[in-house]
Amino acid sequence: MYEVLFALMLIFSVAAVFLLLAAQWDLPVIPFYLLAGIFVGVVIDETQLLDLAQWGVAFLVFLFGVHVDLEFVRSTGRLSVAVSVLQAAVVGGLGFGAGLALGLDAINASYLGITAALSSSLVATSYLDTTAGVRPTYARLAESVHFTEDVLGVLAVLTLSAVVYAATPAWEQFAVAAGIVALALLIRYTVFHRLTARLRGDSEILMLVGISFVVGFIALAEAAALSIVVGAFAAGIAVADDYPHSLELVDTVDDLEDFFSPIFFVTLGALLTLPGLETAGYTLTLLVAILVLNPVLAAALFVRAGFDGRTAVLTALTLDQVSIFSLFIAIEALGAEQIARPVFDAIVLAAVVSMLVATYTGRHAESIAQWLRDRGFARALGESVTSHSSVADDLSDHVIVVDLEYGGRELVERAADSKWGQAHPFLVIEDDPSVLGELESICDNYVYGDVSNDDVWEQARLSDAALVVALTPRPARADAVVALETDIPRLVRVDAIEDAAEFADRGATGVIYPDAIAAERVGDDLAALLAEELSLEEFEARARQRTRE
Amino acid sequence: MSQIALAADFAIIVVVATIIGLIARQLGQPTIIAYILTGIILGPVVFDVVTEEGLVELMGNLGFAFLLFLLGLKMRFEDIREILPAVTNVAFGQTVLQTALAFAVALALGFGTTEILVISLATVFGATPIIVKILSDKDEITSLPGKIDVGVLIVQDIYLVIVLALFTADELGGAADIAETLGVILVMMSFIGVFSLASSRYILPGLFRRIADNKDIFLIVAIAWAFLFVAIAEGANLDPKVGAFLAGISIAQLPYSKELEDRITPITDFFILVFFATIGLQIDGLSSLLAYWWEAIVASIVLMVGNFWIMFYLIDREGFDVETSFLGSINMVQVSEFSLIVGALAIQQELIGPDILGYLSLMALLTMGVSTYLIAYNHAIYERLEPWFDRFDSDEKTGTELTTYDDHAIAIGYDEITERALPLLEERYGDVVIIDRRTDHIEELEHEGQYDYVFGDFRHTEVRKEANLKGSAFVLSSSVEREVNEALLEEADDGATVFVEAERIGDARALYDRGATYVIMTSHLAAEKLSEYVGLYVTDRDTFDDAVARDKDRVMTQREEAGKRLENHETGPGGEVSIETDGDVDPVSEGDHDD
Repeated sequence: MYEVLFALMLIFSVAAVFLLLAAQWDLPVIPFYLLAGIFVGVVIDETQLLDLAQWGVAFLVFLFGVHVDLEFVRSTGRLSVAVSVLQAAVVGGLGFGAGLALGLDAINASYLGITAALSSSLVATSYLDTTAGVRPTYARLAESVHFTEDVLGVLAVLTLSAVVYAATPAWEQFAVAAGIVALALLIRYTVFHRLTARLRGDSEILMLVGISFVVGFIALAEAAALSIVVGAFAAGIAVADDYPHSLELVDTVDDLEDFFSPIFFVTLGALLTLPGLETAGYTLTLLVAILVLNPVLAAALFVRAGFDGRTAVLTALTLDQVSIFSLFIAIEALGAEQIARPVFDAIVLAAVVSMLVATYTGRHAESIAQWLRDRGFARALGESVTSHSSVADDLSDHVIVVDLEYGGRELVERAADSKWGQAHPFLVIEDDPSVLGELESICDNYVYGDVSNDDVWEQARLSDAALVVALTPRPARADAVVALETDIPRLVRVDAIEDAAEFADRGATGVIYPDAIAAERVGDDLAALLAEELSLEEFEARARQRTRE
Repeated sequence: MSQIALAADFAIIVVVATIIGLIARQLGQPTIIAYILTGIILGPVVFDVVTEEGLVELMGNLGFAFLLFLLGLKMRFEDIREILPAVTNVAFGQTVLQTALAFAVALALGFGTTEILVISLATVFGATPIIVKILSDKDEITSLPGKIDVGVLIVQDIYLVIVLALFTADELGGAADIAETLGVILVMMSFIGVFSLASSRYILPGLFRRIADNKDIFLIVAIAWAFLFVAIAEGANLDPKVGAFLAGISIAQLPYSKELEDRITPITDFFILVFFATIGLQIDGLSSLLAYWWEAIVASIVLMVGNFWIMFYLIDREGFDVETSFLGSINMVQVSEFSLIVGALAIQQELIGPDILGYLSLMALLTMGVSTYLIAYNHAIYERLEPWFDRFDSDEKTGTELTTYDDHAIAIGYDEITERALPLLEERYGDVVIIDRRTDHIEELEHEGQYDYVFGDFRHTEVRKEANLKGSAFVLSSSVEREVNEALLEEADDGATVFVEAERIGDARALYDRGATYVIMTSHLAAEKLSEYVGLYVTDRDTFDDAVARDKDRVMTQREEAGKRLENHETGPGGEVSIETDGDVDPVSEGDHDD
C-alpha cells in the first residue's frame, strides 16, 4: 500500500512541477499531465493506479453529464448538430479508411476513425468559458458542436463496449443503456429536486448523494456489462444542473474531480511506450485529420449554413484537438486488450500535440481568421454578406452601431425618440443569428456579418457614415472597429484601462469605459443614500424605476 | 465485458454511508457517527461483507492524511491570537487533567497496564468535526465560546500529533524508550516545523501568488506540497501524516488558506468516510464491540461529567464570564475522533486487542451522540441552570471583546466601482471587507493596507463565513454573475442594503425581484452616456470634442496611477500574465472577457 502512496506523491509532485511550467506559459493542463505521466512512468508501476484513475474517468464523465443542459440542446437547433454529425462522419470515415490502408484491422482502424472525428470539449471549454452574458456567437456555436461530439463519444464508448469488448456482440445492450438513461431522467425530474431541497446547506451529505449516484449507476452499467462511462454519464443526467439546487453537489464533486483527473491523465501518460515508426505514422495521420481536415470541413459547412466567415472559422478552430472520450476509449480498449499498442500510443501522443496546438490556435484564433480572410479563404468557402442585410440605397450621414446587445439596443431606442435620431438614421452590424429577427423589427438598416470583413463595412456604407459606435464588450470586435482605415469618428467601449489608452493612441475618437461611468454614478447615488438625502424606500423605488424605462 | 470494475467494497461503503448519513441527518446526528456505524454494519460485527484491504485501506490512509492536512490548514495563529494565552493554558490543563481522569477511570474499571496507558492517552475530549460542524450550523463558531473551543482544539491537535507520532514509533519498551522516542520525535518535528514555517515566509508566498489565480494548479500544487511533507516525515522516520499536518500549517498562514480549505474539504470528506468506516471494520465482531459495554457506559458518563467540570474550571479561571465558560465547556464533552485513530494505531502495534477498540468506539459513539444534542441546545440548558451557576459569577469577569465583523460593509471584487465606493462605506460602516479572488488585487490591497480583505471565490462557504456575510449591513457586488448575486441576496440579512451589478436588463429585473436595493447596470449606463455623446456629436460638435477629450485625459491619468501602483510593489508576473481562467465564477471577471 505504501507503494501506492509513494506513487501518488510522485504523481502530484511531478504534475505540480509541470503545471508550474504550464502556468508560466499560460498553457492548458491536460497535455502537461500526460507529459508528467511519461516521466513518472519511468519510476512507478502504473497498473496499481488504474483503480484510482478510473475514478477520474467516472467523475469527469459524471460532471459532463451534469452540465448537459437539455433546454440548451433543444434551443440551439438542429443546425450545429447536423454540421457536427456530418463533419464527424466524413472525417471518421476517412480516418477509418486510412487505418485500413495502413494495414490495421477493422477494430483498430475504427479507433483511429473515432479519434480523428471527435474533438475535446474539455480543453475547448476551458477557453470558451467566459462570463455569462458575454458569449460571442462562435462560442455558443462551438459549445453545441462540442456537446454533439461528446454525445457521439458516449455512443462510441457504448457501441464498443456492447459490440467489440463483449464476448458475444449484443445489440440489445443499446436498449439496456437507453433504459439506464431513462431511469436517470426519471430521477432528474421526480426525485432530485425533492432530495436537494431537503439537504440544502449540507454539502457533505450532498456530496455523498452525488457519489452514491455515480456508484449506483456505474454498478447498474457494470451489471449490464456496459462501460463505466455510460453509467457515470447517466448519473450526471440524473443530477439537474439548475442553480442553486445542485450548486453544492456539483462544487464538491468538482473538487473530487480535480483530485482524481490528474491521476487519470498521469496514469495514461505513464502507460505510453517508446514510440516506433508505426506509432509515428498513426500519430501523423491523426494529426492531419484533427488539425487540418476537421477545422476546414467544419468551417466550410458553417459558411454553407449561412454563418459569416469569421464565426465559421473561429468555431472550426475549436475543433482541432483529440476528444477526451477518445482517451477513455483508448484506456478501456487497452484494459480489454482490444487495441494495438502503437494505436494506443498514437492516440495519446496525438492528444498531447493537438491539445497544445489547440491552445495556440485558440489564443490566436482572431488573427488566424483574419489571415485566412486576407487570403480569400472565406470567399472560397462561399461566404456572402448580402443575404441577411437590409440597407437603404440612399443611406448617408448615418450612425453605425456594432452589436445590438450590451447597450446597442438602448442606443437605437433612445435615438428613435430623439430629434437628432430622425436626422441621422442608424445602421446595426450584427453577427449573432439569434437576434436577427429582433433586428429586422427595430431597425430599417442592418448588415449581418463580421466586423473584420471589409465587405461588411462597404455594405454598411462606411464612407458615407457620420459616426461609428461599438458598445460590445468583446475586445476583438472593438479592436476591428479601431483598426478601420477611415477618417470617420469612432467611439468604442473598453473594459480595461490599458485598452482604453491603446485604443485612444491608435485613433479611436473616444472611449467609453463603463466601469468608470458606473463607478461615478454608483458613488454619487451611494453618497446621496448614506448622507440620508433620501430614504431607503425612495432610493429603492427610484432605482427600480430605471429598469422600466 | 467491461474491463476495469470500480472497487466493489468501496462502492458498498459509500452507498451504505449515504443511507445511514441521511438517517443520521434526520436525527440531527453528525456524519462521523454514520460512518463508524457503516463500518460496524458492514464489518464482522454485523454482515461481514467488506474487508479492510487494498483500495479501502489506501483510501482510509489518504483520508487520515487529508484530515491532518486540513487541520493544519485551519491553524491560523492570527485567528486566535487575542485569546491564545488563555487558550493555551486551558488546552494544557485540560490535556493533563483529562488524561489523569481517564487513567483513573480505566484503572478503576480494571483494565491491564498497557491498556490503561493506551486508553488514557487515547481518551482526548473535544471532537473537531462535531464541534465545528454544529457550531457553524448554529452560527456560533465566531462567538466567544466557539472561539475558545476552536482555539483549544487547535492547541490540542499539536499534542495529538505528538501522541500519534509516538504510537507509530517502532519500539516502545520501557519508560526510557518512550522518553527517547519522544525526544527524537520532538526534535524531528521541530526541524520540519521550522522548515514549514520558514517556507511559509520565504517560499510559499511567491509560489502561491503566481498560481492562486488558477484553480486547477492551485489545488494540485497544494496537494503536492502536502505529499512532499509526507515524504520528508517518512524519510525522518516519523508518521507520514505528521508531515501532512505541518504542510497544512505552513500554508495556513498565507492569505489563500481559506480558499484552499474549501477546496480540500470535499476531498477530505470523501476519504475520511472510508477511514472512519475502517475503524468500524476493525472491530472483530459483536462480542468485541460489546466486550466492555457497561464499562464504556460508566466511563462515558464519568468522563463527560468530569470533563465538563475540568473545562469549566479552566475557562473560568482565565476570567471569562460564567455563560462563556459554561457554553465553552458543554460543547467539548465528547471523545475526540482521535481516540479512535490512536486506538486503530495501537491495534496495528499490537498494544491492544480489538476489544479495547470496541470499548473506545462505543464510548465515542455514546459521547458524540449525546453531546450533539447538548451542543444543539446549549443555550436552553444554560437558561435552565443559570440560577445555580450564578454562584460562580463575580464582577471582574468579562467576556473578552473579540474583533469580529458585525454591521460592516462587504465589497465583492476590487475594481473601479468598488474603489470609488469604499471610502464612503468606510465612513458610514466603519469596517469594510473586500472579497476578491485575484492575487494582484489582493496584493494591491495588502500594499495599501487600508481595508481588510479575504482572498477567495465568493461561491465558497468558508470565504463568505470569513467575511461574515450574514452579519453585514451593506454589500456591494461588482460581479455580473447572476448566480453569485442571487446567492448573495439569499444569504444576506433581509435588513442589509445590497448593491449588485447586472449586464442585462432582464437580469437586473430578476435581481430587484429577489430583493436587491440597487442594481448597477453598467451596459445600460454606458449606452446612456454614449447616446448623450452621439446626440452631442450630431448637434454640437465642439462640446462633443471637449467631452471626449476630457474622458480620454481621465482614462490616461487613471492608467498612469495604476502603473505607478504596480511599480511601487514588485508584483511579479501577477499583474501581466493572466493565467488561463477556466471560467468558473470569478467575482471580478467583469474586465476579462475573451472573444
